[in-house]
Amino acid sequence: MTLLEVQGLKKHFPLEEGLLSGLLGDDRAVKAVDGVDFSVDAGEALTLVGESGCGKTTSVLSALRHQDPTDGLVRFKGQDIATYNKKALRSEAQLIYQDQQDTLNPTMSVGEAIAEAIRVHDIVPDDEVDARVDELLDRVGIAPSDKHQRPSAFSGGQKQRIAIARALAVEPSLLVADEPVSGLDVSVQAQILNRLMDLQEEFGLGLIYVTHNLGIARKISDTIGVMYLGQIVEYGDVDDIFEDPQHPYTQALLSANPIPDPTADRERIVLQGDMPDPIDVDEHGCAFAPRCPEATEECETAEMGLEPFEDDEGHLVDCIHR
Amino acid sequence: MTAPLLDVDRLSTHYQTPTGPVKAVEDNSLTLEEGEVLGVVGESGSGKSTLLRSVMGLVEDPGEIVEGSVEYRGRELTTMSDAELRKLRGNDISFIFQEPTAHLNPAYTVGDQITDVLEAHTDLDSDERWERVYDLLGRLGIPSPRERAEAYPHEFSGGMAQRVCIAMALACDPDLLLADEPTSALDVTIQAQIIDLLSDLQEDLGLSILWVTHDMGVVAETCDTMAVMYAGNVVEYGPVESVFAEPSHPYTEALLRTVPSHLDTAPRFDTIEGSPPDLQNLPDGCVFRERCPDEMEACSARRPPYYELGEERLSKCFLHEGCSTRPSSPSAPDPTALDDVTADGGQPTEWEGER
Repeated sequence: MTLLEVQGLKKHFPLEEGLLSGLLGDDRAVKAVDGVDFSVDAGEALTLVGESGCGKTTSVLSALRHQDPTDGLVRFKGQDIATYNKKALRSEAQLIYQDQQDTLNPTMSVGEAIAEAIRVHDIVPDDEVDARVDELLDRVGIAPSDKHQRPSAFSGGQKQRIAIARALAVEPSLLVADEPVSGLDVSVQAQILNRLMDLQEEFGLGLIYVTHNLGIARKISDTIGVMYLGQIVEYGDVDDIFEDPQHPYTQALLSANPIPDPTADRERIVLQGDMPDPIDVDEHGCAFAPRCPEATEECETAEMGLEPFEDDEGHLVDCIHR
Repeated sequence: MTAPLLDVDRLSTHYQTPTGPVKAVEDNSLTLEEGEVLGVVGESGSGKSTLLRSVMGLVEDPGEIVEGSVEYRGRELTTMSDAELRKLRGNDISFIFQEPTAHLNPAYTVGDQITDVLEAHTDLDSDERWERVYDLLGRLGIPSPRERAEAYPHEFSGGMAQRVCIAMALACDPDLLLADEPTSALDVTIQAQIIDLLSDLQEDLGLSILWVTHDMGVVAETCDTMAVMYAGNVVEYGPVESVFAEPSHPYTEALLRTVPSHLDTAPRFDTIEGSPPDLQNLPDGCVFRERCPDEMEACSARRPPYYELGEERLSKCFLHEGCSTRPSSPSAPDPTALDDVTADGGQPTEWEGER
């Protein structure tokens, strides 16, 4: 079953809001997300991967109406998300952020925080709430006897486990995790990610994972969308794309990622320059062309869009040379 | 063989707090040869940045070096006066850090800041200083160096600002560059640019680099030798290829397994159970033993010494009991220690041969 379906999603932030720029006709905008399509099925893990400023977080937040999108159609469980009951949507699609410091109430014990979520969304009868909290904490590897502690008593990794418990408390069908472990050390990351994958499989959750970490993306996802400058440039099965990347940006990104093996064969494609500001990106042509080692004159004017690579509907590429 | 460029011996740096000392760096030894890149790798709180700062007397209060020595070309740094240290920093030894913009003054153009460094440390006149700035910026791949020298730090992207910092660090032709996570705040394609740039400069200028990072991938791509830190201890030291091929300390072995690689197709992440110990409340014996799959009785009795494994490799682990241990001071070796070299039945190590 398709949980979330996103078509032509755009999120533009006007550069100047106000009377003066209105009079002067300055309608330039930061095109954070500029027409993306993706979908997530129940039990599927989709990763949006890309460098900072590529629009991966904004895509998810505007798809789920945490921000109002500029344009595009989003369906949640087949229904237009604009008409979906807001409270139901908030419980069915749960978010986990990078920094739990900002999302766990520091004055509330972690047990109370989870219990509150269960009560607000009427998940179980009141007399079963406590038992439910214990079960959830146990599932994420936190001793239920620690539930009376406040967030400050826990390490970063433990806080992230608690955040996962709270997200699961309301029995969501979709979990969105935005760089949930990037502030943690690798030895702690691994424990949490394994737990997250186990729970996702067990409950058949849809998962949207947002990260810049290609090593994590490889393991956590079934499907991957590689983003550059507000667009998805390559989309499909994670193993297909990591083993045989087609878009020149994906190729450069993968080749730039350091390999933890000093004897590895390295053929690094080093891109020139930085990702440009997503302001006034040309409507026409390929946004990656200015940095692309394969760019031709055609790229500046071509009609772009994701197309199946070698007729494979499961591997889409947005490049006229493929 | 000549003395190493940098020789850190049994160095301990503690932060004194009302509740007792935080042992950020505890009894660490490593050497950096001329023209080499040494990676210091570890998780956060492992003491790698404190180690780097200790080398140049930049440990901030309430931290202090409580034991050990740091020799740069045979000169002891831990007892050197501030004036002498200042002269050495800039001329011989310079730094780059993780957040380039945090180490640039936002109120001055980058050209002004680099010429300031040149004025303090060289005899160049004003025109020569500016020519040097243009030359440096151009060499570091900054387009239109003459115009960009007039720009302020905020006008540079993260990658370009790091190039400016490298230009400033290289302004006085140092021999040793101390780099604290210089690419960690950058995106991966920009990180690749900076890694390539530093590697080229290192070769061209014969620079030695002490490179602190949490990223095993960066170590694999950039370093000749590596020191692996855990809970304030360099638990393993040796040439990069040999340590990756055959890690001798259980922590190194575990850390290499857990690094997520985009080439790894296993369905789950390898893990190290537990978490690093509290530096104020370290376990008795080996600092890693509580998480170690190979824990033995000996591990809780005392701290393991550095065992010498040959090929200039060191490991702080009782698994190597039987190998000779590293004498306490390389500059004043205990003559009897040399006799112990062949205790493991092997040839005297290169390390020993130097003495």
